[in-house]
Amino acid sequence: MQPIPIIASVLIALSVGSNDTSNALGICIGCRIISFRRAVILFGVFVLIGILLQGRKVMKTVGKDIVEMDLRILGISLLVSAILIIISNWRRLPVSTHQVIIGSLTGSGTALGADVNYGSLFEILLSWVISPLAAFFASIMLYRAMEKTLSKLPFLQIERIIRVLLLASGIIIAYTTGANELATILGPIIHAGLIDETWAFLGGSFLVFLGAVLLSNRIIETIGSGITALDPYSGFAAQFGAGCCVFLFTSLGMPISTTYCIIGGITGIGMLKGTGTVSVNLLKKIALSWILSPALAFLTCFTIIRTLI
Amino acid sequence: MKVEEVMNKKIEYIEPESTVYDAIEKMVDKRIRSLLVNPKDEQDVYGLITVRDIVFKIINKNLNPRKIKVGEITSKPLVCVTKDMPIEHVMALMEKFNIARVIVCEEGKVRGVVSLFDVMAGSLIEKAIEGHSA
Amino acid sequence: MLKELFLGGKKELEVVDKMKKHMGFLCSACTTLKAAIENRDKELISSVSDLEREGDIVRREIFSNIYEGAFLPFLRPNICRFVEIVDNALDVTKDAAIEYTDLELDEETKDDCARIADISAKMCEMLLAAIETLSGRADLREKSLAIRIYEKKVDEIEFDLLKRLRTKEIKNFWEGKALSDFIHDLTSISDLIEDASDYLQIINISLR
Repeated sequence: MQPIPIIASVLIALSVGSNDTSNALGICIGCRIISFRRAVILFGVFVLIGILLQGRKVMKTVGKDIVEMDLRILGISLLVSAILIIISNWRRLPVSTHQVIIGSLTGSGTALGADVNYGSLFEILLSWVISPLAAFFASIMLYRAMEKTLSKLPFLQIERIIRVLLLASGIIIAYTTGANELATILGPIIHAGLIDETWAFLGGSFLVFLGAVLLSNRIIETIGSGITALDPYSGFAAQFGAGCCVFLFTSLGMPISTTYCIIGGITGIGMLKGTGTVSVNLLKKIALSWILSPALAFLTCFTIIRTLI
Repeated sequence: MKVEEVMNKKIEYIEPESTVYDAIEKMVDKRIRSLLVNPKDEQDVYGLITVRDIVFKIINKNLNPRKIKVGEITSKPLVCVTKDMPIEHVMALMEKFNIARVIVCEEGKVRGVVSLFDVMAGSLIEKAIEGHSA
Repeated sequence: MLKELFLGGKKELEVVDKMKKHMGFLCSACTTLKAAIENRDKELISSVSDLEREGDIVRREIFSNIYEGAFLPFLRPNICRFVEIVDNALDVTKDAAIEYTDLELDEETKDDCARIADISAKMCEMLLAAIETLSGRADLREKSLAIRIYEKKVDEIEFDLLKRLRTKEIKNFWEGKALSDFIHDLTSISDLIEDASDYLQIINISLR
């Protein structure tokens, strides 16, 4: 049983790397502000910094607070999660690692009759609902603020400033990917005592980096182009607004999806510019997967455990 | 800015004996809003007929433009300015006499027209040029 | 890389300087054309061709600067389009100059054409000033409106000129064609400058 959770975590970390780099630095790479190679290195570095500085709260929530951990729960949850995540990445569905992991843990825990902390679970569910909405509003407010200040400057100056801002927002997202996303993955195995914290941090960050290097160029279609066509100006507002939200929720120890916050931000800006530019179909698809993924993870684990054990 | 920089040299004439209807036709064809009315005889002076005259004195009063002669609604004498007069002066004149255009004269001959539109366009251009050297 | 990011703007400033240089060539070309028409001086025509060639050289430099990394990629197509339009204006000025070589215009027509060339030159100066908007030292709206006012003046002169010319007698098809081509190219200069000014507007608002 022991190697299974670790292997599963490795797989999940790799897919986070391949999927989430585009969240963070897709816009910067697309705007040629930074080369792919440098972007990936920057990404890796800040993921490590993120988890070092702020990872602990989310790790505790996921690894300890939800469910009383035991090796079976750990193994099955992480394995199922890894499989589901890899499949969705392959099918290019924007799926949240957090939702799948937490769904699996809850499913396994319930199936085995373990002690599930419904209070914590509720807090987490609430965060999942609130965070994209918060990002939605944060991005709109940021855009308005930019209109009042940045827009008044001469053209060439705005151009220079936007480059710097885009890079900064990419860095924030990389940081929160470490502090929140990676923390969600590592939380369970660290708190189960399977691996030493320092090794987990270094190894986890490295795996995320590796995932980015190996598979990211297949996936650097920024989420932005699927929902609304974003120019750098709007792109920054969407991403930075989302980044701030994730940062806030990370400080509260809530494991939330950066991907969905960014979607919230982009939708906000899209609406500001006229609803016509937001692809309603894509939004529906996303809403559906938002409900289905934790449910599916829950049910799969539940069924497996009840069947096998 | 001087008159000569904004004036319009396109001047059209009409005989005082022509009907107002003729005047309307001429204005439409030539895309202008005023016509210089030739003097009736040696003793007479030039006059001006404008779109304003036609609208307020004929159309608004429901009179038949085919029956009225140009000479009957002409404004006389002309309000004249010289080529080197500054625009501000012209604007003051226009405001004082409540008119929309002035005639540019030189040595007793008519050289051009300056309308409100010309003044507006001219001052905008002046401002745009100044805005750069400022 | 980081240095580029913060001290950045050097490449962009270079491009804007070259755009101004490019516009400068157009201004000179129009002024030279006007002098050539006014003074019936056919010697000046070759200068216009020279200016057009210089303009081509600068245009190529601008394009390579842009694709070497100046400006966010999202802005580049509009900036290139602007430069292309100015280049078209230069081409058309050169064409008009060359067509003028074989023409003998009557006094009235000569005056009208000289006036059109003069207004075109004034429009160029205005557009050159408008490029300063990008560095924030000018107000684009005013200059854009001034350019449109000038363009309407050219339209007016053209309208009357063509009306008058249609009543004129021409001896053969080629004489008529030469005159027609000349007037057409001469008046196209101002149309293109107006287009360029519109593109400058587009560039200006694309980052707001």
